[in-house]
Amino acid sequence: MNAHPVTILLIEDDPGHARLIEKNVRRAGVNNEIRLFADGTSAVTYLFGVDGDGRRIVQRPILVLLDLNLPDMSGIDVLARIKSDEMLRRAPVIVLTTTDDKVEIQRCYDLGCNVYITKPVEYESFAVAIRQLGLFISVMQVPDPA
Amino acid sequence: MKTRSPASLRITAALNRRGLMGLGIGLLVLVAIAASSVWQATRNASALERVDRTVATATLLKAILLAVDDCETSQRGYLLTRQEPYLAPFARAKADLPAMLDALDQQLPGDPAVKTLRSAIDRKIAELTQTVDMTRAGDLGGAMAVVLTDVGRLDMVDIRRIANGLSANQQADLTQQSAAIRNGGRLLIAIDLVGLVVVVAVMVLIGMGLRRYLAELAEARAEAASAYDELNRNNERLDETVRIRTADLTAANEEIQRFAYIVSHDLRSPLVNIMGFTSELEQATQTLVGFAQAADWPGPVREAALDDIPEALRFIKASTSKMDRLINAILKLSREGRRTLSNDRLAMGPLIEDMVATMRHQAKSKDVEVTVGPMPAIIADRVAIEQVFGNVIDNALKYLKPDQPGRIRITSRMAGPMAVFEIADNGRGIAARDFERIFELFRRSGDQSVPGEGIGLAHVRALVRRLGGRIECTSTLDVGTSFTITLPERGVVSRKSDA
Repeated sequence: MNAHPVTILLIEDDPGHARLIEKNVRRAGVNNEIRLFADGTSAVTYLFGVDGDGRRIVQRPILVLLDLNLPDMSGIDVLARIKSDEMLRRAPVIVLTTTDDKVEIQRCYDLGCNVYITKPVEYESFAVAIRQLGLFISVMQVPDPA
Repeated sequence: MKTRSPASLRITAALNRRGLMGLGIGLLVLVAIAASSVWQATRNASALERVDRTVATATLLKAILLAVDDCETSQRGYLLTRQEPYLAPFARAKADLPAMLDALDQQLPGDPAVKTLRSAIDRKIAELTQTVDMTRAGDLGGAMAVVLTDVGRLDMVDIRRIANGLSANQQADLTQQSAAIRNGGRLLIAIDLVGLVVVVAVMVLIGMGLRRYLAELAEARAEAASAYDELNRNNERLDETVRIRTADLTAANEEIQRFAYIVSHDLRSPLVNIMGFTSELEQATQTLVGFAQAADWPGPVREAALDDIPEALRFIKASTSKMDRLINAILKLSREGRRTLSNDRLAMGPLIEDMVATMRHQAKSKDVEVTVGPMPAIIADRVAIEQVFGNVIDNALKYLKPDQPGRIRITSRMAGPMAVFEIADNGRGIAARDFERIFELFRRSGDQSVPGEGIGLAHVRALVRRLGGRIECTSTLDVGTSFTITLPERGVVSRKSDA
């Protein structure tokens, strides 16, 4: 594992979905810190904001779980900003959303998204998918911020 | 807009009446001029003939007088010289005179003056002959006595008088004829002038009429041209209106599809929560149930844990999964509505045969006979056509009566630019009040022994409409159902559908 534990940023406006995702990721044995952002603005503020010393708040390796349907902005905008940022562009971004539009999926991968997962409608398969994602995350290597 | 024909007919009729009248008058005038010219020419010719005759008569009279003078001169010469050669002119003139007098008689027949002239000349010639004969016989004195009787001289005076009288007559006649010819010429000129004026007037009138007719014709043509332009403009406006309406309809349709898509999409999120937490609840309840069975809990608590909560959860799960299916159906419909249709050339015969073969395989347990008649080739989206016919044929197979062999007939015919397909079965049939209902989303007809969501035909109708066709149903309960699918043979004009 990394020298610094990876922080998982869950950007998801639906608290129910967020809770279910968190529950199932935890069930897969992932114990990393999970920070929940219910809208795009707070997530962007956290990712690109600076503290009193003029340094980025984010100093530790991160992994982003991103929903595309956010109330205040499109998740794609968040993805684009992460992937064009010198410091954050290597951070894995897993898009986890209900949209299964081909064009949308292509755009996400074009912008540098690492994994695109459509939320299965069936809860059982949803739970299984998230748990497997949890297993995937638990063995995944995440680079430190540059 | 004015119509062209009555105006032009009126013009033509007017032109015909006036023009024909003008032409008739002109023709009459020309005929009259020609007739009067001919008449005048004839008159002139006869007048000229008479002039010729008069001139000839005058000449003849002069010649006769000259011949008589010759005779007298020749006689006087002989009487003086008694030389025979002096008598030669006398003999010649004496021989010529009878013929000349005959000619004069012919030229002035029945003129009493000619007769008097002839007798005077005869007397004169007789006197001259007598004196010549007496001289030849040597009786010069006798001859002189005859001359001195003065008879010969008086005869000669008579002859001159009569001849001059005749000449004067001829001169008068000549003057008269000349005047007649001159007058005739003047009349001819007058007639010609009048005719010319009339013809010119008629020509001018006809010309004016023609000019007006041509002007009206040009006007009528301009009117027709402007009417044609107007028609074209109207057509363009109509096209434009149709284009705008079509665009509006397409926009409205896309709006509805987007609405359906967003709604079903947004409904899905809470549903995922309901289903997710229901599952969580179920898992939690499992723990509870284990405890409840092991521990000695009070009756109502046991009942709640073992019966009430699981029952409630079952209903919640059943309802949410049904809701999930419905939302999925709407999503599928809206997604189909957004799909871009391709224009494939489809040989409907083999396509339907293949589908029937696959479905018959699936429905092997049933005793079914499917016949496919001759099919045309059409241009349409392959996937959509397969879904449409697949659904309808599948329905025909699904809703056959279980107690009798199934018969499904698939036929087609052309109706103008449309291909009409009919899928007829001898199944359980559909009540007349449900002919329209079966095409509505989530509605089903008859007893619900066969499982289904009530989506298929709604989906089929949406697809058929997008393909530019229509689908209708006729049926008799317990006898059979017939679906008629009408599709454009050449395909539908491709529409933008990137909602």
